Amino acid sequence: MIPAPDLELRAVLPLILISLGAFAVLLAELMLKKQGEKSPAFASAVLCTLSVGTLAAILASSAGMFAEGTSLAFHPTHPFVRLDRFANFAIAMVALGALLSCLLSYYYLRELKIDHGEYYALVLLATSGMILLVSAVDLIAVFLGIELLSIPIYVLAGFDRRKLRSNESALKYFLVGSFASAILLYGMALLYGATGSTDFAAIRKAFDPSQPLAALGLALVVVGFTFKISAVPFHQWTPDVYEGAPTSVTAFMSVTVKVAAFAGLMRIVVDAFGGGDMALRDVLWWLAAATMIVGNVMAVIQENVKRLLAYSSVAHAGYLLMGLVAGTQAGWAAMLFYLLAYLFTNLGAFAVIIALTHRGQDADRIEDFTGLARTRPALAALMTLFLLSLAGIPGTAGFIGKLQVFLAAVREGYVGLTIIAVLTSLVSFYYYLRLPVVMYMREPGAELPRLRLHSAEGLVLLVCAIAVIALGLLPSEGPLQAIDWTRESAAVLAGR
Amino acid sequence: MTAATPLLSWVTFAPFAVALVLLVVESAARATGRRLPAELWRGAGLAAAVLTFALSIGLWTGFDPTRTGYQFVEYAPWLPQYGIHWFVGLDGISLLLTLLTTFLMPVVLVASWNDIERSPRSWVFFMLALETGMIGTFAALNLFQFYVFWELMLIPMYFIIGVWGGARRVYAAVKFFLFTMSGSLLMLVAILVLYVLHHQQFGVWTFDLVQGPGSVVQGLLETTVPTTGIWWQTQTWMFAAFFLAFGVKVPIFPFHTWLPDAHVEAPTAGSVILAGVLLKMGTYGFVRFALPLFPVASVEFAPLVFGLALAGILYGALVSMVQKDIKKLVAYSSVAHLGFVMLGMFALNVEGLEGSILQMVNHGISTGALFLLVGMIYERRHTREIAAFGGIAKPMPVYAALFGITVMSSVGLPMLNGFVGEFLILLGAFHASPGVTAAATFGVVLAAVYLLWMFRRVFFGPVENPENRGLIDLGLREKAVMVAMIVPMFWIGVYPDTFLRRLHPPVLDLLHIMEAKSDALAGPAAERARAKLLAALEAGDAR
Amino acid sequence: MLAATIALTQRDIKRVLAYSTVSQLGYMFLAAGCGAYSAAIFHVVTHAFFKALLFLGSGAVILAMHHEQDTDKMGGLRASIPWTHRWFLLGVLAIAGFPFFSGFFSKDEILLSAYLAHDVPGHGALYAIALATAGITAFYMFRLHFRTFLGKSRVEAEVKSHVHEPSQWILAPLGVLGVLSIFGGFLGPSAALNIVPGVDPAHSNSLANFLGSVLHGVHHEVSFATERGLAAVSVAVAGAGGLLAAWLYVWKPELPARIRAALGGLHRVVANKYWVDEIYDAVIVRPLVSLSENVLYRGIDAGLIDGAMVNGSARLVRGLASGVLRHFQSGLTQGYLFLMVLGTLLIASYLVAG
Repeated sequence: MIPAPDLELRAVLPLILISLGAFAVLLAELMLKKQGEKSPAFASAVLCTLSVGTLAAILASSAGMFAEGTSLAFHPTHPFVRLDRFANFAIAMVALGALLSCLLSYYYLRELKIDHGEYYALVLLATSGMILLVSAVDLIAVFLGIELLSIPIYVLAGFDRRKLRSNESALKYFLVGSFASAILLYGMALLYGATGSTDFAAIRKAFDPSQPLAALGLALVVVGFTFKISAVPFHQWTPDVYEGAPTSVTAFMSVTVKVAAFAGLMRIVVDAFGGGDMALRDVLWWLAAATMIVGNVMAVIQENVKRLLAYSSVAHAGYLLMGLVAGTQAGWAAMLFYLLAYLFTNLGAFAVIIALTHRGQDADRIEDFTGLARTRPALAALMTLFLLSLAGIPGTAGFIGKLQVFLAAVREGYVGLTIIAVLTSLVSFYYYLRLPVVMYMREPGAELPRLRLHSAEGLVLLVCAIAVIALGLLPSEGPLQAIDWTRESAAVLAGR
Repeated sequence: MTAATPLLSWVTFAPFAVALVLLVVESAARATGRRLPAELWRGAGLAAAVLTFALSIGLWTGFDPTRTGYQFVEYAPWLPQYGIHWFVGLDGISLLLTLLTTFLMPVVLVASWNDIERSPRSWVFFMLALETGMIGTFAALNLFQFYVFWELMLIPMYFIIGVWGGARRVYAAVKFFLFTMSGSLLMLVAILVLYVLHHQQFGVWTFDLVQGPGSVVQGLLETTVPTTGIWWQTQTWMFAAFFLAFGVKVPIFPFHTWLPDAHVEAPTAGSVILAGVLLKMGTYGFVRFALPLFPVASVEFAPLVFGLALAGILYGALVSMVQKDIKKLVAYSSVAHLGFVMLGMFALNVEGLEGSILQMVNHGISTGALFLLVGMIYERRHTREIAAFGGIAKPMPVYAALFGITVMSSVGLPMLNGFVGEFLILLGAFHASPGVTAAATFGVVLAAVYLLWMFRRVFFGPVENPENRGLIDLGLREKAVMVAMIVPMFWIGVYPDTFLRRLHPPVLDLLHIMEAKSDALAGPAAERARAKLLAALEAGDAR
Repeated sequence: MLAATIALTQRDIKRVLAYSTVSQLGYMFLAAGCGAYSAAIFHVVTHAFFKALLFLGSGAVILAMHHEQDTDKMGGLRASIPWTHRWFLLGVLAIAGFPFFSGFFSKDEILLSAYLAHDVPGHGALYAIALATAGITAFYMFRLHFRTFLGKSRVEAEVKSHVHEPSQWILAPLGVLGVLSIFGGFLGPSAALNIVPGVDPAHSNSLANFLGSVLHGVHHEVSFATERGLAAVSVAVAGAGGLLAAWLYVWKPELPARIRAALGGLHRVVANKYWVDEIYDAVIVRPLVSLSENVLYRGIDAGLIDGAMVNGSARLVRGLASGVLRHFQSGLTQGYLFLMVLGTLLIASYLVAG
């Protein structure tokens, strides 16, 4: 008799859940096809609710597991997937991000007339990949996760088939992404060759950076990830893809993929490579510096808001990398907090853009925001809040995030890098302030923007705004004990 | 010493609290399709400002001028694991500046009552938010808290300039914002370095400047910041970072170029607050943080600062002289005046420091009054060009008289506030460097030149421009505002002891702290610093 | 001395008085320089009396003349504004040093101190200059008075009919100052010159005694005879000046024009106040303004700091973005991939080698 493998299925519970959810959505779409023709709103509502429900369930279960502090490995000796506090925290973030973007998508898709049910299924599938990635403790799992998350997103990027831009962005993302995946896989193969295993713990034991095979493997794996997180010089797909994809997809991508990719990167660097040796930290240093500089400087000349936010996203990747450069638990905790803050802030910003979608057109140019303070004062104020959080003004979540990352870097003596970060932040203030200038200090044009706010969008905006302020002012008191959570997660990560 | 009732927090948050209440009520009203009347906002805003002022009088009367240390101290955890607390307290210096703030705000709100036609509700909101930000900065004793409030102030000011300002307001607002930010961000890095150093030396994480009540943790003031070693850990670099941040705000030459643009483009009330209070944040930052935290570097940098201060004094005065726009003239005069403040401060002795701080208050009042006056004539003629005026004293004698008094105050005529401050500063600076002081005194002459020349061209002589003939003199509201500003000019000018008394203990304290910290360090620079401070203290004690 | 000579040639009433003030200030400094501090203060006080009287009086004249200040257009006003004329005359006498008026006491004290100041080098010359200036003072003051009030009237016809005495409000203060100008000197007359009977010599100069506790001046011993002699000399000099003025401006009014013509260039120099104001303007004021405007304001502030550094740094960032970095973002996937390969090679080689 073949002995039943000692598998802990609960470790893949979120994966199972979300896959079921995705299939449920697909099935429901089939069944509702008839209905869909009669009342498309109803069909979308059902599908959206299904997705949201699934994601909410995952969010709840991860939160619960986080609170309990349980750590589940898929297999006792070769874990493949580990559902520990770190993973749970990341999963919760990803689920939350996906949930909020689904809410945003509901009206947006209808507005743009691309209201196909597969959308939600794709989102859920992509999320499943993310869940796999953040809980992966094995190279294969990592690769699976990355592919599983990327492919649906390639499709999602091109979801608006009528638009040239959308198709272009999908194709570009696919090409460049595949290229990066190839590099990643090759690196993994080399690592396997050098260490004899794909399991992180085993790799850690066997890894010897002086060995060229291992070092090359490490390099290629890191490169593969840097593509995903949009670090320079692997970032060039980001502005094109963000701009071309439908805004709700961009929102989803910018937030969740970043969280997942960084979490995965953290996991690999810490678990498999013990935080990285000096050489790796040097590489990361240069990556961080270049990313911050290029991201911020390029954003200055952008006229398209989505492109601007894309470059801002690149810049933030640079700040996040500082935490890895620091290489301490404090650094990793800082990164997690930063990602959380970034999640709410970026989603909020995109939510505003989506809320302004009018007559099938994206409101993605800076001029679309002219005089918004008069016509939609609440939206203008919210956008300003989110932009200020991205910039890092005290009182916002973004500031606390930056503060922590800077602190972690300074503690390890990386003051030079911190100064670069600070100077590029200064540059960023310029382009983040461009929108408030246009909104508040110019008169509105003849054409009025959309005046109605849909409830789903309003909900997302509210949640993000409250989170940004709460995390900014009281990140460790009250219900949102984010700092504690991030610390615990990082501790768990480090505890290997 | 903890206070029984959190009066200081009340004073700090009263303005913003009222603003939030108004915002909530307004949002509720809008949800039903109505709006709160603008007058209500204006009235409530004024009431909030007056209330804050009244409460701050309570601070004044409750303040014991004979004690050293901070009073009205409040200490509450905010992010305790990071050592971030809500830690506020006042000493004589911050008391004076807080009162300046709470005094100016109602005056400014009254003065701008009819000025602001567009979005008056937002205006009131931003002004109140600004007030809270300013008071919070002055009262802060936790470095993180200070930084937060310091940055927070930028946002309302940015909007105030950018939305309600003149033709080039956007440029001015962005310039103001980015300029100030650049210094602040570098200061943030320095603060973090200090934070880490402190942890290395004491094993605790805290941003508190001094030991909080009920806390066993030593404050950042206790940190020994070395004078040599890793470059970013030295006093020199950290002082430089703080210097940049505060220096831009003061503004010290050559970081001053944001000031003329910001002042000229800002609406009158904005200019008054900008000149009256915001500029003082820079000088306050030096006295509260840069000097005591990095005493050796302060002494080392003093000659440089002296030079820059002198440059500011003379440069500011000379450039003022050739201005054609009255507001720009006054703006550049601020550069000159604050040059004096920095001169007195970096003399690093009792008279210099006292004169410097008093002059901070004086400048707030005099230059604030000047901006108010310019605003009044602008309201009538919509121009600020000197050439457009001439002989105004005839149709507007009251205005001319009040303007004249204010000009004299700015020049530094005895019996008015400017003289007391300038004299003390020059006296103090003389001990430090007679040569520089002599040159600086020339700046007093130049002040008379540019102010009186402008005054003559605007007010005296025949009324050439026919548009000026029908000018209406000041109304009751405007007169009230000006009287409110002129009373302190005389009070400080004739009986400055009321204010100087409260400055003496903290100034002595500052010098003591600086001396003690220099003492703790080794090396020739530290020795020099210590010697200088000791001399200043002895001279001070002899008085 | 300089100021006194300028006052000689001026036509505007107030200008004469102004330069006279400058001249009298010279006296005060002279006294201080010789260590006679209380004498200087004394002269400040008496000067206050008679100069205020003179200015106020000139103001009355100007008012009566409907804002005419040029003495060329005056003359013979004694008849129209007698009281103004009388008080003004008293002021002139006081400043000239008419015996026992206030100016007499204070000026003589100063002259005495200069005479006695042996420790001051060149004090003899100083005394001589001061004495000569006293004469000049008397001369130009009487000149002023005569040109304004006496002689033939040169007043224009329309103005003449309106010339009248100023109101009581103006005459009253003139009276007060007049009295003070006459008797104010008894505040501190030197014992030698004190004509008040029965005064103890030590208590004669009450002002000096009053100030003595604070101002420690230099004290010289001098005999009453010397003092009185010196006083007589100064009175004589002043008297000569006055007489000369009378001769030139009352008895022989055609002479001044001829003298002026004869002296030609010299007169022009003095009348133009030695061009001191013009020199200041050219050497100090204009260069300063020009410097401030062009170099400081336009050059440094706008050009260097704002232009090069502030806006320049902004342009640098923008330039970097649009000029350099943008070109990497070609939109072509091949370009992206190429750059990625490059980056990979860099990273890989670094990690493998290091």
